Amino acid sequence: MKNANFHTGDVKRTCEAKLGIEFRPGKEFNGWYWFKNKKVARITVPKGRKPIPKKTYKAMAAQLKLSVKEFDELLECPLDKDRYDEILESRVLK
Amino acid sequence: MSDQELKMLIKESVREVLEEERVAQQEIERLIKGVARSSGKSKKIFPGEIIKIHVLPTKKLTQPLEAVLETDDGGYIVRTVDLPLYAYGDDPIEAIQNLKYEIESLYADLMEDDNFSEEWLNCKHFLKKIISEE
Repeated sequence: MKNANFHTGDVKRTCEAKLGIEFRPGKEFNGWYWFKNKKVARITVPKGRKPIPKKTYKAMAAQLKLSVKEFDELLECPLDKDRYDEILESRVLK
Repeated sequence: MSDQELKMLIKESVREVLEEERVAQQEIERLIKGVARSSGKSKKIFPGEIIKIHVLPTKKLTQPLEAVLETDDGGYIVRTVDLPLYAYGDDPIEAIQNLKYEIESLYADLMEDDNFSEEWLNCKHFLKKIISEE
């Protein structure tokens, strides 16, 4: 788990840049991931935490339906949008 | 008045005073609890505990929503059992308060339209059932 390497702002920026998620400001940041014209995943990103607490990191991964390892890869770059769509397809829209 | 009558009178007076004191003490304890409850300090919350959420910041629930509180690297994370939601806080009260906002925020999102996966439509159906707009 690479939670210590990231700020919650990194998670938000990555979700915006790689997955096209648009966040709404509120008490925390919330955003939906659209897949095949439907909202399939909703992530909550707390404001201003570094390092990201372990269970919070895991909870964000789970909201995107990713394992912690896959979430590490999303943040570190190997996991791109196409691969994420493949994962979602297999886990949500079977 | 005989000595016997005087003793009886004193005993009766003492009993009355003690009873008044007991009632006053109960009233004080009730008031202290009421003040503590209104300031959110009525009950200590411990990690691992199942919390029942009865009210949201602006809405009421017709049945309580269960959530689990855990420590998280110096802070606290609280997760709903029936919805894919969590919230973080520096203390348990803050975490629970943030979760209440999260529930309302999700409800507002879900009420916007029906472009959701089946999982989220089920969440919408569940929340519509338990959230009272009154």
